[in-house]
Amino acid sequence: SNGGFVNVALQGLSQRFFLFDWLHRGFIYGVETFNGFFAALSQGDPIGPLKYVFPAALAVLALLGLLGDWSNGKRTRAERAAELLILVVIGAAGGRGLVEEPINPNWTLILGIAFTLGVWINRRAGKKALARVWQAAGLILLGAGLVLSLISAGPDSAATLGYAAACALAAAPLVISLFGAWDARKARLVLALAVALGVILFVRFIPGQLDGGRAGLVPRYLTLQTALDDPTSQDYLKATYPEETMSSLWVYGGAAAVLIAIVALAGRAPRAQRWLVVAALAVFGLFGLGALFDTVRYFQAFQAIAAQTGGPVYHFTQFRNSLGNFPDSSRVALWMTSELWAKPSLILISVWSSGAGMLIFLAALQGVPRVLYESAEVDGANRLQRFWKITFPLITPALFYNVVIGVIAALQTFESIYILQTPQNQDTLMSAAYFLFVRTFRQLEIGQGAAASWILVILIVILTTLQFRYSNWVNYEVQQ
Amino acid sequence: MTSAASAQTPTQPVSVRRALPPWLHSLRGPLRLVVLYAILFSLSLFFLFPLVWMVGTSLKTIEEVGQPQLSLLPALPQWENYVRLFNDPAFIRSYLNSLFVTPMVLIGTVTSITLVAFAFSRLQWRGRGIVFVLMMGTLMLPYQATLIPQYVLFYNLNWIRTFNPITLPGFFAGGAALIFLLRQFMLGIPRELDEAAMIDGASPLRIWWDVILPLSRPAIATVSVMLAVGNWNSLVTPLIYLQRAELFTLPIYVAQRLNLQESPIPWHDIMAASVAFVTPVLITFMLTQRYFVEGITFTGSKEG
Repeated sequence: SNGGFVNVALQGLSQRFFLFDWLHRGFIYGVETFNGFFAALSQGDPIGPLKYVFPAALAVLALLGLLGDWSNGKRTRAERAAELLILVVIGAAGGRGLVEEPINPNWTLILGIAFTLGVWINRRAGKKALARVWQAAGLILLGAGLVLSLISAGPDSAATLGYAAACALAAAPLVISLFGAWDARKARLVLALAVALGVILFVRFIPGQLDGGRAGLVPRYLTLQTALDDPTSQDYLKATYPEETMSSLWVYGGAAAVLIAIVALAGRAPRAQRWLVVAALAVFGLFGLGALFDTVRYFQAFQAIAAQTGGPVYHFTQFRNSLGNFPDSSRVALWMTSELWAKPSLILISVWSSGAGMLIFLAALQGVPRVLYESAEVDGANRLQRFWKITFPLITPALFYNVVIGVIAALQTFESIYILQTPQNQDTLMSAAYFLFVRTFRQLEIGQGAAASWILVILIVILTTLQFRYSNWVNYEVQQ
Repeated sequence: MTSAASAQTPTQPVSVRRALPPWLHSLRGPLRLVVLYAILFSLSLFFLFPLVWMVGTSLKTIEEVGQPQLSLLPALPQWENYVRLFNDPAFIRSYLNSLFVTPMVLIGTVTSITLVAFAFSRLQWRGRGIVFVLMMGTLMLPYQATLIPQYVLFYNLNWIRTFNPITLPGFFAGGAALIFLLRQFMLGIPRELDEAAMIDGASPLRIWWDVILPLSRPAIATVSVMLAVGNWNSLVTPLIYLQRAELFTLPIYVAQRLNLQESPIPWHDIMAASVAFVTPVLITFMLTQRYFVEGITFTGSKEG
């Protein structure tokens, strides 16, 4: 009932060797901590204010790198960070816009702004081909949305008209950027259109997104007034963290906007730019800190409520519990018999079979010329410096290969799931590849299976393209 | 163009000693070795455990396998498990089949993919980027999605119930992941070498043979091991295309022994077959190990 012979063997070893006992306990502790966290995220538990902590931390990290004198390296870093944040917004907004019924024109406007900014950034950086990719992707996505909404709503409904209008508005700056030469005037025009879209969005959208106390958390977090009263009282959650809060995409988008503003100010107003970096750092830092404090209180309140009412114990509460209790030796791993343990078990199997990756790293490590270490040692570099300045850069080609292939292989995980799935853990273990197998070969829904495989392929293509795009950390030749 | 190996040899022991942490460095002689090996062994336990479990189970009686209190090693080694295994004609047949298929795949694939990776990493030609993207695209399609179209293709080639679907694709550079890996290696070889060879009037094919292949020998060794192990272990493709008992490879034999309806499941026999199954891989790896320890030019630096 508790995972069978492996557990018996592990317990036997634990009784014999004290070192193994500690390893065993540490392992169970680690997995249960991981479980609580992952299950909470994947099962859509309310994560409360935690959702603001992550983007705020990202913004702070990006801004910290921009402190001090401005340089070209900082500029590329800021542009790249802004681009990634915009991608997050596009991904989330696109995903939500696609599932929302009927399609909400506001999401279309968000996509329009995001893609226009993507074009603008790349054009500014002189990357014409990438700007073309942004243009094409934006227009295709907007067109697909238009077609989908026309099909679902019928041509003469008011909603469709509104959606078509939003599509036209959102596509306008992209279309303008498509034709003619790119000069300063046009850059300004496109940016102005993006700002105008932002204003329209603000007027249309904000009343629905930030009113009704939704954005009320912002001033509170900025002043670090989080824990108001007794966090164990039942009304605490409702009083301090209302059910309707603003989306964390605002924070992602806000960070991207600030980074773009900093890049734009670079040549013109260096003083204002420096102040903007510091001010943004203060704002995002305070906001993230406030949200972090509130997160702790939020989970405390949840735990207290669960204890009082006997209501559902949320997984984040489990996460907290597992953090608090170092497991005693009688606790066992549940492996494939438990919904929560199945995923870590699968990960463990992948770790176990990671020999090929090690072989590649071994080959790469052998290729690092020892002469470099010796000259570095003469120069007084310590072990850590030698690792980060010599070993790591020289094995980046192998690391890159392992990451690209590993991501693809992980997304296509099939065999281990096929062998280990039971009715109990089927839902937890379900992967895209296993899903398409079940649909195609078990339920003979071949069309749906083919569609699933296409979605998987598109996901892999996007991830791999991004990895190649951001692969300038890979060194193929030693820089002398 | 002396390879890095000759330059490293004298300094190697020094570097190894320097890699130790200081507290270990202060230990002397055999004690240091004992501590070092204890640490390494306890770390490798995590990975060795399944292997030891397999060997242990293969030497147990079926009663000992099924008993509730577990032991890693058998009370009394049962060598007759292996005698029984090697008296099974189906096992011998599948072993010989595997020993035929894997070298075939290895020869064909290594020849073709080194050529392809050479073209992707060292030659400039129109459309190289697009073709590379297409090749990476074949990695991205999940195997389950291409299963049926592939079967139809091989069916129309009249290749079902033969070894061809397994052995022949390798000769046409099947294996995008390995090409990508070799490309990563070959990109690190300094460009001046090809340029020098080209000035001397060498053709691309000659550069491939005389410059790139010798320099990427350890990379090719890595690729060969991954390829051979992957092919030796592969179950699904042979299971789909072979379809005839006399063509079955080892993984199919092992999979057939695992019949869940049977009670008790003959784990001791299955594990004995698995040990016989793993042994050639381990032996090959130990024999070729020196290629991995030799050092390679992943990143170009000829000043060494």
